[in-house]
Amino acid sequence: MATSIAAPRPMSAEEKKVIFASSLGTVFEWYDFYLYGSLAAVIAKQFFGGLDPTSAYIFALLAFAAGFIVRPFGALVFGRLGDMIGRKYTFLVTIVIMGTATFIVGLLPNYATIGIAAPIILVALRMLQGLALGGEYGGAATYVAEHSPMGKRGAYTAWIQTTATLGLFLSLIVILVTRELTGPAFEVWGWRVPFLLSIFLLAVSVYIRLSMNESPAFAKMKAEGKTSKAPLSESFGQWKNLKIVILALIGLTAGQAVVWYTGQFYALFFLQSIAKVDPKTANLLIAASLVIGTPFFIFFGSLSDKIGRKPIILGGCLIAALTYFSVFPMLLNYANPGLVAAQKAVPVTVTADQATCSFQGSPIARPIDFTSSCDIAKRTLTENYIPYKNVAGPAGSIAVIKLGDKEIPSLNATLNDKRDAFSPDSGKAIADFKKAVVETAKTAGLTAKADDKTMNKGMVLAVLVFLVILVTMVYGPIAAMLVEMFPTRIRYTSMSLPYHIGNGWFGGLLPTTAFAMVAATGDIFYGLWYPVIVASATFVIGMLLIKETKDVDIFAND
Amino acid sequence: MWKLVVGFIVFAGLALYLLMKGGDIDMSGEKHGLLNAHVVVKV
Repeated sequence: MATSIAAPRPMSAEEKKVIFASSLGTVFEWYDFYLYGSLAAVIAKQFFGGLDPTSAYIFALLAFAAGFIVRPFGALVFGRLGDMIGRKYTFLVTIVIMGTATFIVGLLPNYATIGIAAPIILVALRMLQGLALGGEYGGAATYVAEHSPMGKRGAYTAWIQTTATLGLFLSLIVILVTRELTGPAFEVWGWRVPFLLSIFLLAVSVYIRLSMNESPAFAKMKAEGKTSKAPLSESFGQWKNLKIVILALIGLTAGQAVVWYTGQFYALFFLQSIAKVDPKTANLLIAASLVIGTPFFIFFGSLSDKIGRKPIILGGCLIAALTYFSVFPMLLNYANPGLVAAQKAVPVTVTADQATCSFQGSPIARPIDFTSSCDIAKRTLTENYIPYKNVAGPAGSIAVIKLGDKEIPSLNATLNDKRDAFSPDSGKAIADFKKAVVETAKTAGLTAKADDKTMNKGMVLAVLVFLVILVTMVYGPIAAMLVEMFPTRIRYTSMSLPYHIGNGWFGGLLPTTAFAMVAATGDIFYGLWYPVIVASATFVIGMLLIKETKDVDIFAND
Repeated sequence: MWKLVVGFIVFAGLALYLLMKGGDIDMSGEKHGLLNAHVVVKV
């Protein structure tokens, strides 16, 4: 274990094996995890289609919780295990859990066959996936970092940073090939194939990982009897460690997560829903930007070994915060200039008693939670991503949407006796109201789909690549930095939690938060305040309170 | 290193080719929140 920077040399065979084994397994874990999201519509049909709306809603909520709550919990469970018994065996366990859970989804009989047991088991399996993923990343990053020589940690761990994107691509490739090969049978049984394939990926990963040695740092610590007996208490119960965990979250991973989610996922949502680009084109453009951007994970990880982790990660956060409000309007203009022109020509307002307008940001809200005329009006416009301004109306008045010169009054809705749907009259009235609004908006060009003839695909791609480059700046060096912030004995535990809280909560809440902000204000760019504020806060906190770590001897406190 | 570069280019090329050919693709990965759930359960 070097304490000074080694002379430059090529990667040794052992180091290549370590990086390959760790990265490959992590790609497969992401593949397993993303399969569920990529096949969400088919899964819903197979497992939730027979449920009543309330039950379906609860199951969807639980499945969502797998990414939101369970990942950080998995970080705690497996972080603790990894610091007590070793990295190698812990991240063998995570991949066995993930692979097995995924494989069982492929075998699971659907709702039509085994009734309510089907969605229950499915969601339990999804929770297991979240748990496993929560343990995987910390293990892989720690394992690779502890094998890396000084001065190369950023370059080596950067390979782990490519795995989420590669896993996503792999899941899509397998799905598309399976669709091609099974044709109409895909919706019946073909969808199971990508899940079943996981068992082979699992076998490969387990075989490779079993042949690996334990991290030398951990092995030495274990031999000397210096491992932690209670990593959770040490990590979070002692202020000297807890403050670094908190700093890692608010000064690094929170900003990283919002830049990641904005560049990879919010950009896609923006293109499809706000710019109204057809889904295939939008997804292809995003895919192309990710392909072009992926090598930059390695570039920035390597660069961070020379110029430092902080300048790149925090630089990415700063550039994101300073440019998002320019870049997204640019994206809209390049993708759908006709829509931009219509929005300027036909202003839209919602005049309502503001006391009747509720908060629309709850991630667990359903349409039936919004019965006031203001909420129905706002949701109608927001669901179609039509920008509008709020105007205060008289107390007790019904909300009115005005598109140009045309006024359309909203309505107060009522629920049925079971309170699980709108009453038939309200349901019909809401549908009529929405139809009137959408038709008027359509005539005004406010719902105009992006036209291939006027879309500047080259510039759209350039903007998307810029967003992805920001992603690679904040994410490329971060594995190395998180590892460097904590001592070996509590490293797996301590670095996993801020990573999964940052990415699971700050990042995971981005779509719903952004939607809520758009819904509240009618400004289709207002949602960008969320990543801008979080990235700015991370920049300030990181600059002031986090020390550069590239030259840290990660074994100094062992 | 060059093997990795070539491997990545092949993988990326295949990915983009298949994504162009395939009709229904979704790059959004994790489904966050229930915005998508309303779409997903309405089947």
